[in-house]
Amino acid sequence: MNVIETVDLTKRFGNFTANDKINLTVEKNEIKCICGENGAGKSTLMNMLYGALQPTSGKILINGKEVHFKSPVDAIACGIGMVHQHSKLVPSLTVYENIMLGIEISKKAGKFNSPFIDEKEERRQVQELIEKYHFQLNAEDKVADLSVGQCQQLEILKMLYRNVDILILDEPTSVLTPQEVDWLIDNLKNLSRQGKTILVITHKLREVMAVSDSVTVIRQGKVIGVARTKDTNERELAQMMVGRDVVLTVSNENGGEPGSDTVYEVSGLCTNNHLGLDVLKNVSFQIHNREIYGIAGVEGNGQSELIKVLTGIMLATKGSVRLFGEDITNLWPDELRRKKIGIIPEDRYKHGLCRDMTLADNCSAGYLDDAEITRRGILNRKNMQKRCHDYIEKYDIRIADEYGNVSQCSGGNAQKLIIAREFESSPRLIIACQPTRGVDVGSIEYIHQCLLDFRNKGYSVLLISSELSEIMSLSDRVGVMYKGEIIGEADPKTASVADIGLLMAGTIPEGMR
Amino acid sequence: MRGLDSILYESIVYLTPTLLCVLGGIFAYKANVLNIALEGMMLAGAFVSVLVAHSHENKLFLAYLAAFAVCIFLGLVFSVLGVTLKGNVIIIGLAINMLVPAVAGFVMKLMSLASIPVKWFSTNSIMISIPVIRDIPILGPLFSGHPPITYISYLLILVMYLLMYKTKFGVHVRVVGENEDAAINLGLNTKKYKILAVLIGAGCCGLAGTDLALERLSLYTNNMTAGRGFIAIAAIYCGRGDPLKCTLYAILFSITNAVAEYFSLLVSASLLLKVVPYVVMVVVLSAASALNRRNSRTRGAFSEN
Repeated sequence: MNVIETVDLTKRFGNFTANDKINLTVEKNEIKCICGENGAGKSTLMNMLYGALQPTSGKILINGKEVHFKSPVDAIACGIGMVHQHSKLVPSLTVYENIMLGIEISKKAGKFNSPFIDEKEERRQVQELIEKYHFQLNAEDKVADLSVGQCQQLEILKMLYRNVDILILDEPTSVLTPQEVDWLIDNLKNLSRQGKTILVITHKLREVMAVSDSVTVIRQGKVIGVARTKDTNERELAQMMVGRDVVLTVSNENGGEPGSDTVYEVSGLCTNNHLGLDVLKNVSFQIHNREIYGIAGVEGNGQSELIKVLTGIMLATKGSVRLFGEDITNLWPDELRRKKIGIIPEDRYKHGLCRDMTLADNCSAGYLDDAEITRRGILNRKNMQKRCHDYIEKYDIRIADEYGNVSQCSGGNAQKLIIAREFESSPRLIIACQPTRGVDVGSIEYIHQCLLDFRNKGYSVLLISSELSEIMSLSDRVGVMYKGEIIGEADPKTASVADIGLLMAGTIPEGMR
Repeated sequence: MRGLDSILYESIVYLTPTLLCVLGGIFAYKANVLNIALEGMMLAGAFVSVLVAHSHENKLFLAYLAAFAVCIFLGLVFSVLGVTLKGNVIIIGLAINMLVPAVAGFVMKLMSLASIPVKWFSTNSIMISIPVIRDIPILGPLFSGHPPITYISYLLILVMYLLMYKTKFGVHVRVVGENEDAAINLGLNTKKYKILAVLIGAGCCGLAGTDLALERLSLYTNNMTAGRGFIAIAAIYCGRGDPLKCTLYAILFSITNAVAEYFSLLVSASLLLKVVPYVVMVVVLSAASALNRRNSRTRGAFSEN
């Protein structure tokens, strides 16, 4: 019997059809993966299934009965719970308060409920639940102090407390260490054995193969294919997702050995955050010419702060940064750019682009000092537009209106705009932070190739990413960050993913001591 | 000792309306709605309480009620425009702050009065003098000889603390302010909580205005709130919406004000002394923000929160 069935489910936003006549069936107790690129319409589909969006046309049947959800609350009442990609937790509240949000237990005053909350009872029930499912949580901890992995466990627990039968997870593994991913996969299988039905949205094919019973691929709002997992493979799924053959992994093997001159040297770098906690402790590494140095680690272990310090947004309290022997510690971002460092920021809309300004403005941002762009303080609009046009041609940036704003770009094309701007400024070193986050598979391939070409010309790249596979396939050397330190370095050609995973979790494997 | 007692008593006179604005305003602050209309709402409370008392002899209760009702009405206007219709809360708040003294001024012009007195009513008749305590130095001026709303404001410190941290309502208001997405997903009616938060503030402003004009002076002069609503906002921000911390900041500002008032009676440069409380405000606000950023290593406008 089908637990979930959709019939010709369609969702339009204005002229844009996000979901086009989707027919999806999910059987009881199965783990179903929904695959597709960013923007393929996976999230829209899930949002309709749990009530955050209402379909334009078509039907949703749960356990054979047609349903019309007005809000997520209706969906939860019907037994459908969603675990979001971006946590919907409240950081200033504790674990048990977050679980009980909206369904608080009131203190009794005689026969009536008083307005006060019965915290003791809430704590007891939540601790019981944690122990029942063997989660690694403590009911009284504040959510602000939890790791990303724990937050996700909490989100799942929140749904389990509400007794849902169908669990939807949106990109659940994007922020986890390899070990945490294994733990999650085991637990999902456990839950499905206990009678829950699970839907996982993901674009990571390896995990699809590991966790699911069946898989549905979506492209441009349409169902492209449905398969039993055991009858398919990664390559076939990737082909369905993108619509053409793709190179899943690029490799840096053909570019020659890294050089021996030290280009970039970070030594003993320390800083603290606004709470006074040390978030960088003695970070040291060197990058040579013709080398990509990767920094891996679970998010929140100091990578963001390291990026901020190295790109001039945050100050280091101790230590130094040198470029070709010249001290560039704590310089401002514009000074760093004048020293020929290209910066691809972590959050492209916060630090890299201005969405409500034109493509041309964004192409010259950060490089307004160029003689070609500014003369005696006056901007040369014509040259700016010409530069923009050149970048669009050369980097294959696909946009509707060359004179329009950046807001028209998809994630991948916005990222390519930054890539174009930074690579065309003739840099000697590129600091690339999460260069392919939220970027479609086709653009990922392109961006990786850009980084490799740059390296093969003899330049250096600092690559900071939470996608372990990206770090492993591009880097010549990998440093792993844990709690503000680089706790180990490895050669991705010889080290195993398991070893790097151990480092990411803070344990130094036997062979590396 | 007489000097100290008088400073303490005057501190409480100044503190009551400010504290009420603070205690009411923290809910809107926590629900992430910036209510800058505290000043205008308080002035409306002051105006209406005196106007009703002026025209209805011996009906004190009616004056209290009318002030409260008018402020709730202004709160509703603010929330319908700002929350339901999603208008710009700064502009709406500013409009209320400008509208209230204009309407009051217009009515006074019609009545041909420069200020509205309540001739039948003596403020002494409602002062609550507490035996024993009134004779104890320091405690006496703090806890005895004040009108009813002052005692209500003392009580509200505890009530608001419990409401904010120990009840469903308080938790939900904080969730709405901190992560609205989460609140929506849990099926909380976020608009309802925002509106209720604004209304709590409006109601408190009604009490504040009544205390300021009717209870203390039995007189209304235009713009008599003199920026207390904004000082309350400063206290809310310094204390980051925590009822107890915000109360402490309100007390600090009130004491400085009373000290300056007291000394301005004694010396000739009295106008200069009136500047002191506002200078203290600026210094405290700068210090509070410097303290918040003391460990911050981020440059310029990039915030870490």
